[in-house]
Amino acid sequence: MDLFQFKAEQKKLLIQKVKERTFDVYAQKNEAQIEQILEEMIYWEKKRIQKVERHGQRKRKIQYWENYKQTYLASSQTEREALLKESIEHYGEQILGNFSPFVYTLATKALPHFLTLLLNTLSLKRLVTLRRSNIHENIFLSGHMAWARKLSQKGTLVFTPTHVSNLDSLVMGIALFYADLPPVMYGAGLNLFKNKLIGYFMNNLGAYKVDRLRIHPLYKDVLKEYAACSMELGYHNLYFPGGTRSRSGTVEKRLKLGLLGTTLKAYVRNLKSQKPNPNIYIIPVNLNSHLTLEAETLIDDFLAASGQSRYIIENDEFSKPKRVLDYLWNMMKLDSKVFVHFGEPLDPFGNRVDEEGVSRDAHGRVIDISRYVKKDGVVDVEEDRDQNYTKELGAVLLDVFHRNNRVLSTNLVAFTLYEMIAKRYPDFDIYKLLRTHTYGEPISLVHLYERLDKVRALVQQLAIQQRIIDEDVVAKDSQDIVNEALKIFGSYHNRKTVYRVGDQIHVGDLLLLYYYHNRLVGYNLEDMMWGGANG
Amino acid sequence: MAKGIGVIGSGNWGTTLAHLIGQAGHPVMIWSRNPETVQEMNHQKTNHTYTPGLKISDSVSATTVLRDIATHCELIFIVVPSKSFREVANQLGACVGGDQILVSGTKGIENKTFRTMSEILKEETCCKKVGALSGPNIATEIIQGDPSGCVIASSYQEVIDKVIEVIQQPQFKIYGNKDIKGVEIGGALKNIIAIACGMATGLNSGNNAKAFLMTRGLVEMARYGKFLGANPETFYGLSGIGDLIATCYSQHSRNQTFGRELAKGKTMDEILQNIHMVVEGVYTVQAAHTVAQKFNIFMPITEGIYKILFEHARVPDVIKELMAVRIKFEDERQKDDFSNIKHMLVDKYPIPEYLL
Repeated sequence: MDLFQFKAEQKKLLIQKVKERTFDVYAQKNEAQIEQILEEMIYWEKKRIQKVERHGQRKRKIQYWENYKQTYLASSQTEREALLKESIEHYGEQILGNFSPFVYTLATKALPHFLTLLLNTLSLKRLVTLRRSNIHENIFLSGHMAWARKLSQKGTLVFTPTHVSNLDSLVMGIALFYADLPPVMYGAGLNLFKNKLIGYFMNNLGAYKVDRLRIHPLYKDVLKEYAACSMELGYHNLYFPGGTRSRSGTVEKRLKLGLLGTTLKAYVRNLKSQKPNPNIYIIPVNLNSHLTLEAETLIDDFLAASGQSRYIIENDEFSKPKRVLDYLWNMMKLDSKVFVHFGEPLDPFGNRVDEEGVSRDAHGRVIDISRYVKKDGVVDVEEDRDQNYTKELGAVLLDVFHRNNRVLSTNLVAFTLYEMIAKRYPDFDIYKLLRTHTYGEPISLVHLYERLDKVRALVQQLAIQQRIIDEDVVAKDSQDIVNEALKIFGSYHNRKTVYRVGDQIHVGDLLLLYYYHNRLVGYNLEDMMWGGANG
Repeated sequence: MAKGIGVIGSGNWGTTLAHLIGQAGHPVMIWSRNPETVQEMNHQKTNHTYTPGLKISDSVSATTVLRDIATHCELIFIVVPSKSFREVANQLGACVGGDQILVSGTKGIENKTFRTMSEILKEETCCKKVGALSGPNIATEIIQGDPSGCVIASSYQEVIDKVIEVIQQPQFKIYGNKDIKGVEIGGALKNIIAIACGMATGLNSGNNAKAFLMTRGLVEMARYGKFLGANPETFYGLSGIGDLIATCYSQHSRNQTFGRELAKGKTMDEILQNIHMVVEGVYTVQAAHTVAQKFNIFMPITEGIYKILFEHARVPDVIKELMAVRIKFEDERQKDDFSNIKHMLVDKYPIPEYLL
């Protein structure tokens, strides 16, 4: 079933399924566990209200939960079950997304032209030179799109992109359209709906609402069931397996397995109900861009929380229209680009899938994947086993994300420069380095070129082994790469990242440099570039 | 679906394992390349080459056809030397399915790829439910009926439960462990420390020296394991210190014997020619040394053994170097004057397998 058929009746069916499935799980739990779930819900809901609601609203809503608490305390076991069902349904309704074919057509056909026109008008230079460009010209698509298209006829697709920016879902929407792939359901943080224009489109393009401030188990379970049930009903899905934007700028290092596990859940249910097309196909997607819209906020947050990301950032660049416009303008000037790479499809166990939708092992031998979930020949759900399968899928995805990571000039230059600075202070961590480097000396261009040559050679070696993609830099020499990166760095950020004075390179913002550097961490380049054992 | 238990490999440990499982009342099928061994096991119920004197349980039947095992067994142990492990696993991969459980009974690290045996099973077959059986398992003592214990490691609870169900018996206790990486690395690296202990014995260095080598060896094993994502505490279990003690004190250990001969001044080639058997430690030391060099893991004992075997270093010089290492504290958490951790914030651990 595709999203074009997602109308009132289908919505009802989805909510009904979510309600049933969630309650089925809870029905297995004992009285004390049910009580804990409800009590946690009441506690966290009150906390959430205190945090987000305005004064007038706050009082009223807190009162609502106080009353709820009283009802709960006075209820019998059967009444508690009814309360639980009610809450599940309530959350299901809140999460529920919508899809309007009209808005889809508008967004895919009219909006890009509008944006193009708007941005071209803003650029005087562009008007003078009459050089025009389209928004999608700056989004480069590569990888196995035809493969994914074919599989969309054979089962349900789940796109799992890497995540650095709030613009990622927008980029994915455009990318899917231009790749001739079907629209998808996806979860989007409530904060993204705050931007009225973008919120309107998201509301009508299959996005379901994820309230990240609701952190109690019941809400999370309903959310996961929503994803699983929508897959079960055959709607193609998209979610960011990293869970949140990468704060440090690295490629994802760990994934949210709970969400990832919904693919297996849906597959097992499809098998059990003997669906003709039970398969779920996971399409890993790598998003790479020269610049990140919210880089400054993200890396500040990363440092502030020492790697423990605060779950939600309310006031980042995404909520400032001027910054979004600046960023898009940059893209239009063809300075900064976004690259979308569709990886080879996987099954929910992490095996590769061929074009016919058949799973294959590392030697290309056919795998009957239904056997993974069978016990004594019968399809069966087993929590520990299935969690482990999802871990295996997660490990494969992490590997694929690193293999399909695209080396861009900004990352390459930032990586080399940062490592050159770090080398001067071998015992310093980033905090100490940041404090010290305020008085740091510039780096001569000649030395940068020299070291960059070494890093490029290593990257090339990795690319030959298919551990990274270097297409964007392989044909350029070090000088071109540095010039391109300096131009891009100079074009957007408020804080001057790197700049050139004569034949010296000055680092204006070591933190941003560190952020862009991190995209190339995870390949041991930092040891090899100094001629380590393998360098 | 098949219900039997299979053992692939009819060496000393493979035969003992099949016998143990058969003795517990489960039908077992054992695979051997050699048709004569199969004949002997099926008709005389013996394997005189590897387990002389053992009357193999009647529940054990032998075959030369790998597919027979793949078709009839839900749980399969693979107990072939690490050198031929990948080849056998690949053949097995052509005929097993995702519902079957594969357990490695081999200790070692593959040269060049640096993979552990269970990782090879995952690469060569479609099976996900894999495990590793490890611990102080001196076959002769188990056959004699001496009390003994070992560990089954897997991230899958089902694997742990199943293996305990089929092997555990009054004189043979099995523990489960979810840290398969730690268990396998412990089983492999202890052979290097056994060579070192053998040398200490050969040099008549006394118990202090042996205890010193074993404890610092254990730290080294745990350090290597941690780097690759293992839990350092695993090394204080049966597959780590347990196996290390048994190997370093056993007169039958090939690695220990190898070390003793080295101490007498013989060269590696001379000893290997006389032993006529595989000394796993010699291969493991190459693999571990390469990884340690590549990723700057501090492993002075491994490095010392490597230098003696492959760089013709003199034993007294290596001992001198070992005694002069710049470490002040026993506890790794104490800040010492060396540090391999350069990037504090972007966590380098565990190192992904594709970087090996």
